[in-house]
Amino acid sequence: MSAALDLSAAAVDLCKKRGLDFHGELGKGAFKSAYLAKDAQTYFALKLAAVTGSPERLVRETAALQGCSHPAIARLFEAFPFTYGGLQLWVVCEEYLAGGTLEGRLKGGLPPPVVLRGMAVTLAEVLEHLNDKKLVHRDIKPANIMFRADGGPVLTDFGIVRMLDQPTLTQAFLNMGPGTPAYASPEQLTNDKALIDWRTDQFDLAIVLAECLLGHHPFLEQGKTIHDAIVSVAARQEMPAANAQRLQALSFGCLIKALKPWPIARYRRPSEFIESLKQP
Amino acid sequence: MASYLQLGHDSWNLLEEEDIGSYTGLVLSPVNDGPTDVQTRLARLGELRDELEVILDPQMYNPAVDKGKMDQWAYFSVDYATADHADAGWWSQRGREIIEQGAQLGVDAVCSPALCPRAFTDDYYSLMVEVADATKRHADGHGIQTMLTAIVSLRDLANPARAMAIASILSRSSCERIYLTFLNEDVPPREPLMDGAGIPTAVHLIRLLSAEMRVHVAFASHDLLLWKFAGAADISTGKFMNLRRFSPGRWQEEDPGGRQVAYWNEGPLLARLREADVALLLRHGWLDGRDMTNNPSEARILEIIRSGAGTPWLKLSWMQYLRWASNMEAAWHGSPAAAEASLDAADRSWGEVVDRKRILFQDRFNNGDHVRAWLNALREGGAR
Repeated sequence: MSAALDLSAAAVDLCKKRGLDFHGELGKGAFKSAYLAKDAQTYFALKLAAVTGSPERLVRETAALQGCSHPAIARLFEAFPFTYGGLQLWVVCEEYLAGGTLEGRLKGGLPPPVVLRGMAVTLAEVLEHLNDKKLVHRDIKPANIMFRADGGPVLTDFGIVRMLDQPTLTQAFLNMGPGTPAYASPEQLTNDKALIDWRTDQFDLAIVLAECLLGHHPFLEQGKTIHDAIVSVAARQEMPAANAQRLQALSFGCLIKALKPWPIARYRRPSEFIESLKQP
Repeated sequence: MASYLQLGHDSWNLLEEEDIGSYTGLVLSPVNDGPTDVQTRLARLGELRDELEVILDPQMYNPAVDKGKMDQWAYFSVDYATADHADAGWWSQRGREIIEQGAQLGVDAVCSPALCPRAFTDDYYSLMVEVADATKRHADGHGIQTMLTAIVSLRDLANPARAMAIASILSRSSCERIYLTFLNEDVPPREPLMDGAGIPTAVHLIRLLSAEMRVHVAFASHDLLLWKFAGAADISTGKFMNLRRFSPGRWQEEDPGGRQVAYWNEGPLLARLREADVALLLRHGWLDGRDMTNNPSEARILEIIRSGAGTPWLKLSWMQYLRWASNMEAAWHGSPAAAEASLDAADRSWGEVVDRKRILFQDRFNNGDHVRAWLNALREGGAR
């Protein structure tokens, strides 16, 4: 019996109890699954997560989203606990994003730089909004960038959001902090908790953007593996010169600064990052 | 960009002395002056007050033993000794009270409240940023600038990577100005900084921060050369800074009785010398032909020493030092090459004094070793 099957059954049960139409699975992650549901008029995403330990991160994710108000952040309708067959679940109802994920789109090819620039600016503006709220997303990756039907990008999944004005939930003894290694900054990979701030998200977003331009991780050298690239980021090495030159040639030289190993060398303010992204 | 006068015990009169040179402002010392004294002294400055930027440094570093006049300041709460000093909320409340008191006094800027920790960890610097940002939110409503205060231990800077980590944390602040104090507990206060591992990292740290913020190095002395080389915009120094550096116990060392020894500031050697040493230099002709027009106190001091009349020249020594600091701050500002050239010249001068003329000064540490260490620090810290 897999957790996904359990959650699907739970989602069907939840829809039944709330008088909603169940329209199948949208996606499945390691700890949670998303389903499409519809009430009388509106489609929305029903995200179910199994509560196996402390629900603090789930509660923070909800609180973070409730505190945000930005067109490129998924709208949260409701969040509540739900019990199904002895399983404790946390349910989040979010707006349904019909345009799929950036991860899915990349399978069909790299976006043209001009299209990417617009997306980059919008997502950098999201980082500015999060910084104002003292939030650090920490998991910016193609799977968490979705699109509305009109093509506008939306940042989703605040499951490991860091609230800078709240006590940290990450233990200092851990080797690595929360994040997806292939899209993580050096300070996440080395669990330098005190160095986490919006510049962490800047680095993570810059990896995504560089990958959209280069077709691979910006720290990946020819003949090496993605594991080598992650080790290189964790060791606070500079990006390979060949990749930096290609980014420069594609008029995205600003990403070189955004991908500096130490936050002090990156853009200090979100507005500076946004302005640099706007410059071809 | 500017020199500031760091006030100490009974320093106010120096502000009206033309011969101390060009000081953009002053840093108040709550340990030495209560709020009523400050109000009175600021009012007495008359028109000069409008020309000066007044900075309030609350000096909450470690006033556990000798608080001086701190008790007279409302922000110095009665629960200081028993409070949880790791609690950002407690410090933020102090920050709000400092702003309130600063607003009453009409100050232009405040340094965020800061403690001198036992260990200079990342969490310490994060706390300082959090407190400074909270202070700034309150200060903005009063039109008062906030300077992020941080104390940096040279011992901690033995690890070169600390510059990157500390600069990364401090630059997170919403403050655009930073008030840095370097702590060196490994050499006695009268001796020059001599931390061969820590100083290069300190130079690197200032270089990193100066690219993003307006850096003010407080409690500077001859080492202001290092900080200007690294790109610091501002420095503050005071009449006592030719005798001692910042240390957690410095408030205990203050001698309100004014029984200080007068020291000659020998700028070309980046050293302070006792009267007998100056007489020695005079006999060797070292000071012959020196142009003293840009520091008039020098000529007056030499006249006293030459006369042998024993006239006290303590105040003149303060003015001589302060004028030197102000002159050199201006000369080295924005010109690392000028600062390095001065240090190179000092190294050559020490060679001349010690190796060729065989002059030995009373204080054994006055042998030029620090200049060598500083030259290495400039080259190492400037290249990172």
